[in-house]
Amino acid sequence: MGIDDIRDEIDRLDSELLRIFNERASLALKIGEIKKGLDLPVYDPTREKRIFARMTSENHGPLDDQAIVRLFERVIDESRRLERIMTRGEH
Amino acid sequence: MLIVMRKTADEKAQEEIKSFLIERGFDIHQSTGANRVIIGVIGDTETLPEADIKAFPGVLQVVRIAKEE
Repeated sequence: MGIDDIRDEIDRLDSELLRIFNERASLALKIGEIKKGLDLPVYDPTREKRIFARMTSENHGPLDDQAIVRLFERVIDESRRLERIMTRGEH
Repeated sequence: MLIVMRKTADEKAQEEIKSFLIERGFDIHQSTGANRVIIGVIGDTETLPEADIKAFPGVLQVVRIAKEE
C-alpha cells in the first residue's frame, strides 16, 4: 500500500469519524434536553469518569490510555458546550 | 484564561473548579498532561476575579490572555 492509498484510507476514516462525532453530539443534545427538563446540571463528573475508564479499558493502542483520555476530554468538552447552548437557548 | 492546577491537585479539586466555571456558563477545554492539568476557560473571563479562582484548592496559577487591540 502506497502513501496515496494510506491517505485515502485516512480520509475515509476521517469522514466516518465526522459522522460519528455528529451522531454522538446529537445524542448528547437529547441528554441535554432531558437534563433541562429535570433541572439537572450540565456537568456530570461521575459520568465523565465512567467514559474515560471504559474507553481506556477497551483501548488496545497504538494510542496510549492518556492519549485516549485527552481525545475524549475534547469530545466531552464540545458536547458540554452544545448542551449549554441548547439549555440556555443560545445560538 | 488558563488555569494551571497543582501537581498535587486531586480529582475532587478539579471537579470543584470545573463545576464552578461550567455553572457560570463558561466553556472549558481541559488538557491533561503527565504531571499537570491545565483548564482553558472560554468566554468573557473579565467577569471572573483571579482571586476567586486562586482561592480554589489545587489551583497553582491563573493566566489571563491579553486582549487584542
